[in-house]
Amino acid sequence: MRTRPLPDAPDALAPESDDFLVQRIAVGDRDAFAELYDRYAPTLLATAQRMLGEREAHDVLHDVFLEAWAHSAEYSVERGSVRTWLLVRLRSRALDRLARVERTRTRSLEPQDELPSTYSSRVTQREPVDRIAVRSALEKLGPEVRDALESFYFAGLTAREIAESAGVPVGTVKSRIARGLAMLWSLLGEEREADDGHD
Amino acid sequence: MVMIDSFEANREAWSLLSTALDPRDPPASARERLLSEISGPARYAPFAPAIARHFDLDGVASRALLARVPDPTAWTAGVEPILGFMHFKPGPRLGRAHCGLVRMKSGMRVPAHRHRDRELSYVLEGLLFDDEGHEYGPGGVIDMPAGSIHVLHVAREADALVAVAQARTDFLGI
Repeated sequence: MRTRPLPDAPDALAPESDDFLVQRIAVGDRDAFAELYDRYAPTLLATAQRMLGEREAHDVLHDVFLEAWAHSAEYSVERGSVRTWLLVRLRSRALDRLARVERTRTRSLEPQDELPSTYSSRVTQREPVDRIAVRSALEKLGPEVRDALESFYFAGLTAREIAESAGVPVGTVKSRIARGLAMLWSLLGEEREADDGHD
Repeated sequence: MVMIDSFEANREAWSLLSTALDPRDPPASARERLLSEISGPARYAPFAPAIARHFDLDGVASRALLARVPDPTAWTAGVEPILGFMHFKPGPRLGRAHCGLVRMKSGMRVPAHRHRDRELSYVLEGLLFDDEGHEYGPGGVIDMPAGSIHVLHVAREADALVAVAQARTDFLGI
């Protein structure tokens, strides 16, 4: 039995799609990898800088894209978007580094709590529409919900740690996170009820 | 219902927070360094799962094998149009098959030959085609059952790199 080679991608994958790029990367296509880097490195670097600061962010970005190169065959469209696949890897590596730092000093949330410096109004030509939609939705959520979301996602804190830092009950933090997540899901076209998450 | 205790269940939603950040362009030097790395030691890393699967290797052995490919000293020189080869030991499922990576010169023709046993080739680089019009690019598998006969060509555009599990073959002088 003979098998056709992978370059004949399934019809469902448009040549310019992220999924198609990852499929090409899985067979060693360096041009596809460069294209994927150009698409997502700016978002990943912003996330890494938000979590780690300038210097380490570049190291993590490099490591995550090397991982993506080596593990591209593991990507499955059923588990989510390519963007999320990359960001989950990045967040995981960044949290590993934060955990190492945590062993020697206590992590502070304060430098990362100022929303205006994080979500500025800069809009570029290549900026996807959903960036504007997410910013707009975050603005409407209020600072407590935004802080809870950011502390969980960017700082990797648990609901209990966020509650202790903010001086509020854990249930309140969970409720805020649930409201924020419900909003994020709604942006993805999925309506999910915001269970208040109380203990 | 939003299950807030599971990051995994919400990862698609969580990742939207990153998209709300101001994008930051990495310096051009960072891009160059990365692309240089995937052209060097990590060049063949994406093929590790497929090589492991087809040649019955574990992930560590497969990655180690592919990491040696860019190293010229790991290769035995061939006689043109075979540019070089590198033997490796497959896993037990392949029995006594001889396994190796082979570099084949662009435009090379492998004359008609009959496989006494099954032969499996996995393309890592270049483009091969047979006389029946089948093409095999990177990721392509040429799985020839015992008794089958074929002719192979390497496209003129580039040399080919192929991993082969080969048993007994009779060239037919055609």
